[in-house]
Amino acid sequence: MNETPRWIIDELPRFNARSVLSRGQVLGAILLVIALGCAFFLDAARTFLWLNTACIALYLVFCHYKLALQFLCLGEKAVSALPEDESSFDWPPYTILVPLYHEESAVAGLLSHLATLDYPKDKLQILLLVEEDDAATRTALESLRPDSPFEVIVIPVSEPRTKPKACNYGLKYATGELLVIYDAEDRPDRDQLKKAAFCFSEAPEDVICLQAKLDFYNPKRNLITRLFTAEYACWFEFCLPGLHLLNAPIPLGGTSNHFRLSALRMLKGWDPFNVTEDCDLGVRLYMEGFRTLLLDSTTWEEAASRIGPWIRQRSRWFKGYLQTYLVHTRQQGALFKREGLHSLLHFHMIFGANCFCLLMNPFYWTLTAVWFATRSESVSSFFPLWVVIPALLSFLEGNAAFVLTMMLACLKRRNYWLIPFCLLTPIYWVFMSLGAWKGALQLITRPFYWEKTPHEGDTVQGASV
Amino acid sequence: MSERSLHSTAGKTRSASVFTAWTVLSFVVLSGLLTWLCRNRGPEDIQWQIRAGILRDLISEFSIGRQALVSSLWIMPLPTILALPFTPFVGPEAYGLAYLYGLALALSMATIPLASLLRKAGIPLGRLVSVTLLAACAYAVGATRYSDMLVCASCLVIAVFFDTHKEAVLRALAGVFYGLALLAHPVGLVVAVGKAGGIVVDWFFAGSDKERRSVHWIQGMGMAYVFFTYLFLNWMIMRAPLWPFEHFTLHEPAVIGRQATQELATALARRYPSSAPVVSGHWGYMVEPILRDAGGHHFIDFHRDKVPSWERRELVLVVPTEANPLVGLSDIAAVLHRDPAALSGYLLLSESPFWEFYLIVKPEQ
Repeated sequence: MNETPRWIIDELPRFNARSVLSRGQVLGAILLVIALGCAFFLDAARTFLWLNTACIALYLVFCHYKLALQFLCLGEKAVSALPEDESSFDWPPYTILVPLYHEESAVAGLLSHLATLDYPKDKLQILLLVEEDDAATRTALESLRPDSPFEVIVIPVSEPRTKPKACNYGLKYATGELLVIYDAEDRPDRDQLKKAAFCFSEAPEDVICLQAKLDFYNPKRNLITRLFTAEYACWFEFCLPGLHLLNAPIPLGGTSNHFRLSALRMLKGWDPFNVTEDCDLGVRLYMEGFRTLLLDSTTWEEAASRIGPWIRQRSRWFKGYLQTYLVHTRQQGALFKREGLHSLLHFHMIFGANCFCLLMNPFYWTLTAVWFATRSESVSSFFPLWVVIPALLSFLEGNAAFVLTMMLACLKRRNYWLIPFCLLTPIYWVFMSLGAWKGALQLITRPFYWEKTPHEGDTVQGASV
Repeated sequence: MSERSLHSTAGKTRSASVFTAWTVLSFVVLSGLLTWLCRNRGPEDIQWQIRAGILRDLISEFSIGRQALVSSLWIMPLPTILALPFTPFVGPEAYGLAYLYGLALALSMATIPLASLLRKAGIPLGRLVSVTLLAACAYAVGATRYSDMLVCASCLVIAVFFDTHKEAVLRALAGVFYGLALLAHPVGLVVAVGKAGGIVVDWFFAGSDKERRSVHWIQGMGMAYVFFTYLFLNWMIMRAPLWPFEHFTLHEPAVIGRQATQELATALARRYPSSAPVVSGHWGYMVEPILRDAGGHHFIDFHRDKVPSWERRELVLVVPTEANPLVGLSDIAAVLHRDPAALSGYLLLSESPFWEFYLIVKPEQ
């Protein structure tokens, strides 16, 4: 096992995921367990009733929060722009970071696509970050002999084996004014860099990040990819614009995040111990008073199409969200200072309540099924009127509204053929909860383990790439 | 893009503020107006009493409250549900007020959509005219038996607002509000069925216009979902999804006159003084004082095995006759009048112009 090198430790952001729980959090958790244990010992039925009431209340609040977020941007039309006279515009130097690990089959396609990007080549620097022990990818790259603006950077083997560590290493070599990250299978719109550069030039200085939209080029592969595409549509068309509109922290999307390099360096890059480093960075830049805007340009990706890899990917995302939540609950005062209660509310809803609901869903589904099958009085006793009405409301209204917004998102993206499949979303939620549980358990057993999503080299379907 | 985006944020914030301000203003005006009307309300307001009774039973967690919430097409659930959040503020003796606040809430939500529709029709001062129009509607029917139609009308205004929007995403939302109108009043049910028919017809005319077809699909799904939720609630509570349809009669309920009330009180006091009267259906809420004086029982979906085991008195089932304007709210009248086989276990004791009295043969007898 290779130890974590000094440069990683030295450049860690102040609040990072190296420790899963801080001492205060451990103490808090112990006190909570003791308090709950005592309450159960004294009156188990009443404790369960109050816990249930609290859970249902949280469900209801989260459900309406998320719906409000999504409905805020229903009628919004994205506006993108390029300078009127592109030839006279002073395009800033741009660095593209592409972390690669076991991507030997993807590099040829990646390089040929990146070469077609519409940006002055003399202003472009493309850093291909390869792990030292990934001989296959290195061989594939050597055989392609990429020349300028491509540069191959070899990352020395060390812990943690994560993408953010590779990106931080690459950051040392970046010479651009602006920087973007792409994954190996990404196919960004050809004019994305120009749009981002122009957008940065127009935006106030506190805007240091632009998040491009993500979409999939293999949506028709099977039901998983269809529902995944619908979910992404909802996230990028409604949720993120809603968060932006409410001036909430924006969890960045892993790829196609464009940054002002100086600000990124000031933030010390990515947290190498966080497995959703992008999401964490979104919160950190928000805490420092910076802002993220959404870029009306799409990067086409490959959706995981088999259930195993899909659950692994989801478990990593969930684990990362939990890490981010635990890291930033250590600085609630700073969050409160940022925008007052408003910031705290958004943070706890986006990260805490979201994770909590995904973990609790299987319990409530089971409880509902048991009640319908048995009409058991013991189940009913935990659902008095003041609980059953909000529970029914979140069950009947919430679930339907989420399906409806997915349909609307598909309508907005003109994925008309996808709309009927949205009715099957509840099946998708089951898998999401499975992924959530896997991620939560893995946070205990292997907190920094990076569940890599294998790419199957699906052909591009209908993507404007 | 960034600057525009910032403008869009400011614009959204302004729209949200305008929406909130006018909705709150409208709610204050309408709830004030409805409360004032309530003090001077006419004798024909049956909704007030029935909804207040349902809310009381619902909050007391009596099963009759849940049953009354979903089991009649004439007393649809949405107006009662909208009243629920106001019940803690008014107390059990004034649940009728909570119902009125629910109406005001529904109407106030339609303020901005109605204003927008008025503006499209070229009418100036849209928001002000909208509040005035809604207040006029509330004044006209707020204290009558049609008061629940205000909720239905409000849902339909919002539905039409979305349905006429130029953005496909917003047009698609209209279905949900047609669906909610269905949950508010039988008229909403008729409109929703009409809209569904329109969707089916237009589906064929839409040809290869995928966007139009998709909008229709989402609208249809929205309506269907609300309708199936109604059936689901009936299945859960009444154990039969079509229960309200099976027990529906076209007699539109209206308040009974003093003569009919007097007739019932006299009959129970003189002819059956030692019996326990039993009534079934929402109309029971209209005769609560008489029933209470006689120590009677009120049910929804009465059948003989529901008779409380501790009741030692003879049981007399009271059923409104066809001439009684409350017959539409009796869930057992339609069955007894329609199906003679349903009469087994009930012996007709007497009839008056407005009431029928049946002796209930207890199951163990």
